[in-house]
Amino acid sequence: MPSPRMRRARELVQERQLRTDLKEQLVSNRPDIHVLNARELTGVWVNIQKSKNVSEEDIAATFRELTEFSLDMVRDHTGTVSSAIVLSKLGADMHRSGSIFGTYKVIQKEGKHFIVLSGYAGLRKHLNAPVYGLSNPKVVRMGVGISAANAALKSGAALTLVLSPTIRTLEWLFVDQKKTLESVLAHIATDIVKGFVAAGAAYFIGGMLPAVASMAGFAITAVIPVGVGIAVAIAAGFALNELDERYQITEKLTEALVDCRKDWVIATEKVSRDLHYYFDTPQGNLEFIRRFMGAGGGYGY
Amino acid sequence: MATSQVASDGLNPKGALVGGLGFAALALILVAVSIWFVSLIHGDYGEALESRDPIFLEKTGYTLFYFAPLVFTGLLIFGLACMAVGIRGKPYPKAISDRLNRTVGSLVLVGLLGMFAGSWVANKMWAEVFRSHGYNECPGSFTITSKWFSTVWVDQPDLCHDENVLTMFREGEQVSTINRFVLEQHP
Repeated sequence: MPSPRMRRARELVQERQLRTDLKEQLVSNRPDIHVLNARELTGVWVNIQKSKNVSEEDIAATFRELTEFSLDMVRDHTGTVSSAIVLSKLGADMHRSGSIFGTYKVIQKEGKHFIVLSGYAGLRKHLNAPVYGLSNPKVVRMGVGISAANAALKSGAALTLVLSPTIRTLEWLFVDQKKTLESVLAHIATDIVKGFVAAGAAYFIGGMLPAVASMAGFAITAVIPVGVGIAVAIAAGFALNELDERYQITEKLTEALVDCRKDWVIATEKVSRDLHYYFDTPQGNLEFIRRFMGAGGGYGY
Repeated sequence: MATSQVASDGLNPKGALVGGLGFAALALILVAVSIWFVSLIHGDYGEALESRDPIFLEKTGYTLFYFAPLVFTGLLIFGLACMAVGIRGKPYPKAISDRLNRTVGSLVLVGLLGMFAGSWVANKMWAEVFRSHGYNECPGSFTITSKWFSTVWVDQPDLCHDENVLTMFREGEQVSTINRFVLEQHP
């Protein structure tokens, strides 16, 4: 029977293995979007041909056959027209041969042509090959699953944080100037609370679904936690709105803020009146001195 | 579609049972809430049209819930499947997991798309119903009610600009109170 130390070591090895497997699975399930120019795509295409053990001469010949340009010309210099031709011809060839597993599209930005392609591990192997020194291959790295859901929900909550104060303030300043500042503040406060509670509910569901799925031994499609999260956020938002309407929470908050302002005004007025009495009137001066000396007393004594 | 992959060693029947139960209960509550929202607007609109209220609020956001039960049914199925694993104590084969993903994924996608598309269509249809009953939509409803996803409908267009009505909305009065006031002013 293995000793506890041996058992612990074995568990650690298993844990490390599991972590490595999980990391590999996450990486293999992550689609990347790449943007390449004609020279870079040519480099990737040549690399793929080389990996198939095609000779340099055959590669050059096939390239000329496909694009009607020489390989050296494209590597050294490509004009606008030649770039577009090279990108579309090579893109079509790579897609046909299965080198691009996802989608590809040729776009024009600021007079330059690029190919935008997305793919999984197979394509990434060629694109990450250090021999080509791609200048800017990866523009967007898309995470699919809980991280994307979390990012979306965070941005949703942040949107509430920005949108509500902006719209409420603009409405107050330019549309309904008779509305009180307290009402604007109360609406902003309840909007933000509702937004955060709804986003929190969705965040919770988005996180719990994959966790429970893994406990049950199910693989879960990325769209499920994201979609359910969105629906739950909507339901939570409207349920909170309904509660707000039923129990008049925003209106009560407005009233509380108004009362608070009135109390503050009364308190500051009293302080101002006292200051005026003690320091601006002869009777008040005497009273202050009497109190200061510990004789006690009040107004009018 | 990208899916998470799990090792069978990660199986936790008790966790799956509790989690599944939680999701199934939550799904049932959410389905009930969706039905309640839909019945709420139908009841409110029916009552307003029948009693010829001078003013009523259309809750345009609540029409999202016509299709929402589809999404929550997906969640319910998922919860029940997790509960089944919890009761069985062993996982289902991959084919079942794939079928579950396809079913729940389709329900969620169709439900979510249906929520937005259905809401747009339903709002158009409700607007037609209100117009056919002689009501007019107030421009800038948000500035009148300070509520998101609300549209003010009135039987007399002047009411949209009536300073007393606007003040009552601003002070957070209930629509029923505003209606009583309007009926007292213009019997």
